[in-house]
Amino acid sequence: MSEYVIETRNLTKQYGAQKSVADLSIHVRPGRIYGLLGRNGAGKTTTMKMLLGLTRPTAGDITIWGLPLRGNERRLLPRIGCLIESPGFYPNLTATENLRIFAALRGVPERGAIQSALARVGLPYRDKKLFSQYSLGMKQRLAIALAILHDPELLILDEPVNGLDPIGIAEVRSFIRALCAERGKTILISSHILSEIALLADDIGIIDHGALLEEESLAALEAKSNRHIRFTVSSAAQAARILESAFHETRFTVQDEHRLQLHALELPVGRAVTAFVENGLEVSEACVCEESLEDYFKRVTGGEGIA
Amino acid sequence: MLTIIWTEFQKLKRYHILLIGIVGMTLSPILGLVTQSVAIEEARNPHFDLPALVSNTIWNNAAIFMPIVFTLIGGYLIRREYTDDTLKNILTVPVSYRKLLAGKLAATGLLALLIGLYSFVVAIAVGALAGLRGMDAPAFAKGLLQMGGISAGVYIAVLPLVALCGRLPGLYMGGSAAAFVLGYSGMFFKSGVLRSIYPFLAPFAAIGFDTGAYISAENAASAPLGLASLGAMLALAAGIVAASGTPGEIRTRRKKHLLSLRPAQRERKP
Repeated sequence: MSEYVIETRNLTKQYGAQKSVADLSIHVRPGRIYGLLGRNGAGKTTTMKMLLGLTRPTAGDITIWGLPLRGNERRLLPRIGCLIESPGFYPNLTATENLRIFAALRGVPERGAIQSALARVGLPYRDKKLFSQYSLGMKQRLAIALAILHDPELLILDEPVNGLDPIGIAEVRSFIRALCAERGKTILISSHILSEIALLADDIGIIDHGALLEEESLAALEAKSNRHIRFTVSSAAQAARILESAFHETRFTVQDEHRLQLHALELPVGRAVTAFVENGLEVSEACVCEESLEDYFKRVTGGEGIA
Repeated sequence: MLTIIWTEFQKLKRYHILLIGIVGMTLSPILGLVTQSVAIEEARNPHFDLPALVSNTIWNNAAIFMPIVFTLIGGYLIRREYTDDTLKNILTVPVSYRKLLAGKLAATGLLALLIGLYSFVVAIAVGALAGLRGMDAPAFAKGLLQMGGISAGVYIAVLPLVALCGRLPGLYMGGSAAAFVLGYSGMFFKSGVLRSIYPFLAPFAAIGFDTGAYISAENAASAPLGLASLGAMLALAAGIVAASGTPGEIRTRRKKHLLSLRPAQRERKP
């Protein structure tokens, strides 16, 4: 039995000369929410399509519950619920009628499952409104209802909060968390919204230009974020000498003539300030600074941050 | 397979494409009656009764309406999975593309029979309203059987075209136009052999329908040749379906990403 629900090894998708996904190796653990974080066009959707057999990989392997996806689609896919890109439904039918079609195809006992799935996403059962009359948020909710209709063990959700209003986002977020916490579902979720991933995911994979830059638990990523004490003084060079002589501390960086970053967080700020002042320095600022996840994302992707 | 066919019928709810079939099949017997009324004395059938109207309707259906209607409906059933972006939901059930396509073609076949039945009912109604003679059970039974046979035959004749729409979903409009042209061209075949093997006329040969009143035939058509021609069409369609593996790349509709971006980010987007 595999340790991971989803495991990819060197997964690659190439369109012509361009690699949409390059040597991607992700590991999704059971009963956890894995957030695939990346900008638009980073390769998140292509990865998810490959995981669902909708797109054939150019190279690499996909195993789900220890079984290779290729050749085992009929065994694996019924245990997976998914939402890929925009919600796709028949515009001439109501939500219930749409779900009835997919319930029949999946062999789901109809009434209870449809009613329960719609209730979980806050949509009315047997409403007369057609799908074509739905708002984007309602369409997105229906797509989530379809994903959970057959009570799958694994959910693959591509930007599930896209188009929802803030209250809807909060509802879907808590619903996804509950699915994982209370019902033990494994969830792979993608987003370009860092705050969403930070609020939802247990494990995070940062993807950029098709390549996985980082794969860690949220706690480990937060620990990796750079924390320091920043001093703004009349002479950063003299402050550095004081730190070396009075505290035998060399873990600092002189930023410029007046600013110094001290990476030894255990050193009491008050004692350092007192030492600077006693040695004739003027101290205009002393604060503990922390790099946010967004700053961290910017740093690892080497570019602009995301929402 | 039965489930797929059932779902195809569910998907047709409030679907306007069926109106094309209904309008076409309603026009057909009316056209037959009007043609008879406005024809010159020499061309007029002095014994125009219900069987004649039904025959006229069958001819109009097969030559004009059914090929285009069946291709249009079948092609549209396939294409909508792409336009409504629902194919990804079906393939991840998983239902193989081949099975889905076969189910859609089977559903189109059932619809073809229902449309034929509807046309027969309209022909009877028009005949009754026009006060035509020959309203008896044997005429009804013969007309119903012939209408069913011609519906099934024309459906088989257009089947390869509809199946091709499964491989090239954008083809369905062009395919429908081609079906119309191919159906209409049948009027110009006079040789018995050609009328037997030409797929759009083969149903007439297969059910023993006398086309002499509509085409100046040189000799009689052959029922076995007609059946063989339809069998070949069926085999061709089956081959196309068998070759239709799951599309390698499912194109899904892109998200409206901009909706979830901050105004500054939206401005940065090209």
